[in-house]
Amino acid sequence: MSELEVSRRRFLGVSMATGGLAATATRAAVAQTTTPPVRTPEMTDVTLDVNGRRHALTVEPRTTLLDALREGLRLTGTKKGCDRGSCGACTVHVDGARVLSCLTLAARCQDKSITTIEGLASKGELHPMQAAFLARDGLQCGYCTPGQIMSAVALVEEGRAVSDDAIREWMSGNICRCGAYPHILAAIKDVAGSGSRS
Amino acid sequence: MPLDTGIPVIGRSIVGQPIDRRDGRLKVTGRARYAAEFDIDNLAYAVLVQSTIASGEIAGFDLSEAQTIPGVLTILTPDNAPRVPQAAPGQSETSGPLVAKPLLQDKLVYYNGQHIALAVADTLERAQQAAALVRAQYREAEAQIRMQDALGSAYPPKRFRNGARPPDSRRGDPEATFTAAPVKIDATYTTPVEHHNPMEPHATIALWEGDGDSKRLTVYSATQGFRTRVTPSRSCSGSRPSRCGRSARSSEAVSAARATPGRMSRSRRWRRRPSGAR
Amino acid sequence: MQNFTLADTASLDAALAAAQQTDTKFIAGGTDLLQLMKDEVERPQHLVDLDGLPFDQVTTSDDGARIGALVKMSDLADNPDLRRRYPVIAEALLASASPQVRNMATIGGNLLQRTRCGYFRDPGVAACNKRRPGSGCSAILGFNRLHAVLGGSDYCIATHPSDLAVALSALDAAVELRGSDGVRSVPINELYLLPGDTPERETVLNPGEIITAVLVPPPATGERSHYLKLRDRASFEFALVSVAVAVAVDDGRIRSARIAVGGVGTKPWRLPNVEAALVGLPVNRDALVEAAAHAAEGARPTRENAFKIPLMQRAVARALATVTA
Repeated sequence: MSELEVSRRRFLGVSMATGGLAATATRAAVAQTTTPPVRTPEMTDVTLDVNGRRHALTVEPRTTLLDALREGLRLTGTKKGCDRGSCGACTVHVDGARVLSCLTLAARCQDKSITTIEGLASKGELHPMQAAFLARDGLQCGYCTPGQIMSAVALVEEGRAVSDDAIREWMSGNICRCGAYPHILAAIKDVAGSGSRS
Repeated sequence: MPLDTGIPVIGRSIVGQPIDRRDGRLKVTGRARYAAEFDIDNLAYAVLVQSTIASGEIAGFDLSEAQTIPGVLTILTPDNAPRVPQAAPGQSETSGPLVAKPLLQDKLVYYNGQHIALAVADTLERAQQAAALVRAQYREAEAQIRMQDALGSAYPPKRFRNGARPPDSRRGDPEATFTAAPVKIDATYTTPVEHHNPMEPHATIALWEGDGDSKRLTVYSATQGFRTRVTPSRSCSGSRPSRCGRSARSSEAVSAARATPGRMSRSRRWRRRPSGAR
Repeated sequence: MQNFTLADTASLDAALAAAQQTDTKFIAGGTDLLQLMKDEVERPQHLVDLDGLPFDQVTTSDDGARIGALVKMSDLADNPDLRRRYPVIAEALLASASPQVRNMATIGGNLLQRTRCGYFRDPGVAACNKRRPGSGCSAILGFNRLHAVLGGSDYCIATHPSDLAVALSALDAAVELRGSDGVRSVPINELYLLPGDTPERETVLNPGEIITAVLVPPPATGERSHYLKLRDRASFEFALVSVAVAVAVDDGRIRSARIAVGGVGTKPWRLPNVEAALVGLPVNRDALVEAAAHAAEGARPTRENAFKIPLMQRAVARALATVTA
């Protein structure tokens, strides 16, 4: 395989899990007709472990994890809202902690375990938090929703969902322009269970 | 008589019934597609450049640094942007010069942050970097930024909302009633300018496909409305595809550009028709 | 953002050597630095990655606390020993930023974060003496509701943003600095520089020096501490006015008090006049309010932020009432 072939395939984020073969074949066919970005010395290779699958990517040091997910891997579930760390729409889990992917450099994520909204549902079954957001209508336009759900899942795992005020405070890193906050609170309380008091 | 919405009706009304959103499952799983997220290969990325003065004229651009960024395809400015027709006649006078003013058609600056150029590159980071390196020289004019300062020269518009109703409303005889009233409150209330600021960034994908008479433009955008009178197929009337901003980096039939400076993503397709149509 | 090289480091010595290059900055959590780079305020050509260096431990003893500079804000806020001995630190951390930011941001980075002044952070604004020395200050006659009433100059009135720094100021903490010249310790209250006529110089750090630890002396016997933060939003917002207090009371009278205010100064601001006025006072509302009045001494309002002065006095009184209740 020529060097150019390798870099094309890497740019398209060829996944190395066995389940991705069909997708790989399709992408390889398309790759023949696409032009990869001009290669520069700054580019670096990184392997990202996303939702249990490993992806080889070529990124620049300045590439954020958010852009690597959305543009490099076409995982657009994680949203770009402010791109400055203020809105929380880009929230993902890295090594079990909720963080902002817009302020994370992809090149620093080698060997880290990343979970995005696409990785919550299991074999077609919604994660309880996803089901709760649906049942409680914790969304309208839906753009903040993946970040809200990723943050909420972590909040419950952190054991912080002890009261309404605590939930509001520990969800303060996620904003919602549609104002679905009361329903988001209700969804989180559903999942947190009878441990939370008003 | 209940509307036939195709949604199962429980009792007499769907209001108050716990019905899941039709797109709810897509949204909670991250599979709902917003304007910038349609899976299209071979994208170029375009980033808007904003003015840093509030009023005046652009004297010129220095693109020398921006053009050195590897992967930059073009920098559009009023000097080289395609010509687009101005607003249709009969436009309401209260719309002002900005509402129907297409981008990059002249060098006048009306407000701080006005879009004055577009940097196009093969990755988002390169387009952002190139946009940041576009330098504009200005002839700055004094900006009028406070409404109170301009009220002295205010006038009622001749046509308001296309003549649908007069600009001011009145009922009865306010002046006489006010004079005779035992209790009078005379106050001026102002509200600040408010922007919708949905969380989805303003982003558009423009996808050109086909050649010649079968050339097709699809635009993915989040907007509450489209103006379909001015169509790209007319404005870029066929003579030179490059004037439509088609990416030069691929000679393939499919090439696409995504521009960044919403609730539902909509797409519109325009087809070239034989001249005279639309 | 322009391109840069990103270098791992195997050791502190390697990091310090790498920092000798020009146009080089350290990156730890990156939560402030990447914002500044996206906005083209900071444009380093080289980043040295501090992740993995052994400065991520917290030890507390009767001699005080040693907090590694790479400890995450969230981990420090959850540390039970720290919460028990220095509630003001935990409260300041939990009042800062958001849960996601706190999971990424480090103690050292928090202390060195740059001001939130909107003119500083917008390179489209030409006049900013901090960003472009000699170009002027847009805030002084501009939108300055959030700017400083203490410590400003004709060159700069930008507010210092860190809550943690205010808490550490009240506790007389110090930072341990390491550079190629060796190790030194600098009290927090001497770490930050007033803007004067050189607002581009913000700390006493030498080029290539990094903070490796924060050292906090043991609390005085019976001392209780507390952080109060007042702001436009209930959370995830910088302070309009904040107060850190550490007070010891014997038999209803104040034995010692240490007070620092934030949101109002170009650096965290100790209030020695208030502290002196409090010693020996009985703990009652009128006494606290009267002592707190001294907080306004030396304060210079701008066109939009005069409200901060009475707000600061009341906040000091309230924080004192809370911590002596």
